[in-house]
Amino acid sequence: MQRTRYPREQMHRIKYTKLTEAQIGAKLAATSGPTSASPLSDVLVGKSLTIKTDDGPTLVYRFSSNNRLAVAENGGKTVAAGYGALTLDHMAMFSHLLPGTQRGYQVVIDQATNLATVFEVWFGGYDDKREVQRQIYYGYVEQPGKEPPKDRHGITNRIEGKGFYWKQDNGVETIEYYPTVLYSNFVELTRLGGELSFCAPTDYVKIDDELYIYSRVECEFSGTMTLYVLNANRAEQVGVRLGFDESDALEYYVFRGQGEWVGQIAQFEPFGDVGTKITMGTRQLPQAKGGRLVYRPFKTNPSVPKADLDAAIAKTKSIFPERNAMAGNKGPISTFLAGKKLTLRYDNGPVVQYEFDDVAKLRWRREGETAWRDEQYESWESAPGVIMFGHLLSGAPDHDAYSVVMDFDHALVTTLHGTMGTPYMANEAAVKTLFGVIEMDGLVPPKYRRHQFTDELVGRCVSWNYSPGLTSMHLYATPHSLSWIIFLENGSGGLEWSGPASYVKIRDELYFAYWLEEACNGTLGTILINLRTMRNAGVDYHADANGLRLTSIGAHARQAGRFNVAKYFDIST
Amino acid sequence: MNKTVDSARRRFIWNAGAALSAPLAVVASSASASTTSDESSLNTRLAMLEDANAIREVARAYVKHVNAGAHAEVASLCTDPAAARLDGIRALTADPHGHDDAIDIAADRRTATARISHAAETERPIEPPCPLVEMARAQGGGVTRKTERGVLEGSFVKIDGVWKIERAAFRTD
Repeated sequence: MQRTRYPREQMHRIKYTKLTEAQIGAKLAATSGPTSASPLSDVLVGKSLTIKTDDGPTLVYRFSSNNRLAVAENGGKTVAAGYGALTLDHMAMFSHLLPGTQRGYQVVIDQATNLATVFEVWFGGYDDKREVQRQIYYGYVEQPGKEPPKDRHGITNRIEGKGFYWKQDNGVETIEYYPTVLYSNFVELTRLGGELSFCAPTDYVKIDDELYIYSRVECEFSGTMTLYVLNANRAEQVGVRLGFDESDALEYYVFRGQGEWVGQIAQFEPFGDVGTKITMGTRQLPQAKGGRLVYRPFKTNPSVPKADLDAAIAKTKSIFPERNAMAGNKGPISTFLAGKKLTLRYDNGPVVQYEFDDVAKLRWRREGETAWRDEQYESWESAPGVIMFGHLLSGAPDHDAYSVVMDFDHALVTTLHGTMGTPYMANEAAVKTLFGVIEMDGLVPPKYRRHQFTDELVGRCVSWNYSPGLTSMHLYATPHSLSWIIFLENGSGGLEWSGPASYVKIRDELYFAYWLEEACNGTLGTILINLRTMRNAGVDYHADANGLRLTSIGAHARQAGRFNVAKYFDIST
Repeated sequence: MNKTVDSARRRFIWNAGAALSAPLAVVASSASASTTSDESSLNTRLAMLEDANAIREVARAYVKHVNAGAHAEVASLCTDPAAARLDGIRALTADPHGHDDAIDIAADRRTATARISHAAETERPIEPPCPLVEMARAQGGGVTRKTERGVLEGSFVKIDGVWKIERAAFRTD
């Protein structure tokens, strides 16, 4: 019996319905308030509260039971609504919608300080109307006869770099990484089988050194909001989930969860910067209500019809161009292969013969063919006797490319065979991993030994400086996906996105990895990661309406830490 | 012929102080020693110094607004904002260790040029673009930044008694 539930399509492949406002309104009208697997808290029952916010609404509440409240906004008419509340330590979190509207509030009250943070939430604020929008207001619960508190909750980087495993009271299990101040990663262990990590714009609000508010919206996917208060010491959470799932059913529930702290990775802000401001160079946060920075790869990377793509590639191929921001720190071109002749014999795959004329030109043919094909290539010797090179396969039907790592000490080869086009998009690369041996004068390859897939990188973070001003960080988030994270001006993590990935161990501290920027720009990135020299060498393979690009990668690395997550993937390293 | 007001900060202040005291001296001694040509010379000198001061103030305001990204305010100081745009400059800081500043005012006091030492925080887009660069640009990055010393050069024109910037450029040393 299958133990892990895998979806028919992963989130980035689901064609979420573009719900209309009328459809959303009808679904919201059918709910009386959030459900909960745990008993709702009665902490607010019988109380009347006035919450005043800075530059935001004044909300007057009266709680008649543990699931019914009355609220008046800004002195307006009082309306009754269903709600759900849960508490964590001295924090009370409650959620409600405003009947007859597509709006509501998620409210977090610190009962010890009377500070309050209010998330106004609404549907219909973006092209994709199912995407939950939010505006955060900081304020306090009015105490008659007392001066308003001067402090406020506020944004922070004090939680940046943490990671947690969470299990909600409804059985939902996730791993959530907080590698940036703008985004987070979430791995849906129970909903989606935990194969891939996904990224979503996220707010991080500090209550105190151990209590924080986390709030993400799954933009570009279902548009669902997940908001919770968490205690970092005890790994406990109370929260709310609001949105529409892949079947367009309303998910609106409050939850209690427990988890485990899985680690803390490095932060790269200057010392003393605690993240009370987000710096974005010349960009500014959108000023509209709810404005935030959102990476929208579906929107910015349009699908190109196959015929158009083929025509563009026929017209323009850029093979290892000189100017390349991704290779400003690449190592020297290797001379190792120049003049050599060898055969790469893959298990259950092709047999390819090579003659390397010089450091930039090679000829190849499949075993049995008579004609050679000329290609341009680049190669790098990442470790003694380990050569990586890449080239196109001229004439191949899918604009194929090879990214090859050969270990001459062991006469082993691993190749990532890229092809352009998937069932989803013509301008999206696919990849197969080929294991095999090197046949060459002076080498006797092993019969059984091969390079192997590895999980040794899972949970690790490594920053990559490609050239001045261009640095990202890889988070090897799951055994089958990685995230790339771009740093903000002050070194905070900023935007990020994820894609399928895999890792092959070549030698100790030497890994051959790929990632696919699926449902994004379609790039296949292949890198040989050397964690002794802290440098990579690699090949990017990309096609779009401007043609095909096969380009080198070369970056300097820094260790950025590790999350201890192997056990959640049923793996151990 | 243009007259140069040497306005390296210390010397400019010293000269301005001398100039401001001169008319008082003139006024005090006018009954016995003044001549029409002396008065004219002093008035011209004073006017030149006032122009230099005004130009320096315009330049200072221009730098302040450039640093703040206040495009409308920058435009209000210029006859043609496009000709005064400093592409690739993120911020300017007066450079006390740079070259001597110079403001040259035409004899008719209708146009002028200025060269004022600054350190510039330059910003250049990373080229050519690639997916990672484009992602970085989405959050205000995708650029290389460095500090370069040089001279803010400007040409000025007086319109209705107000000095405006006709053209501005930053030249690195």
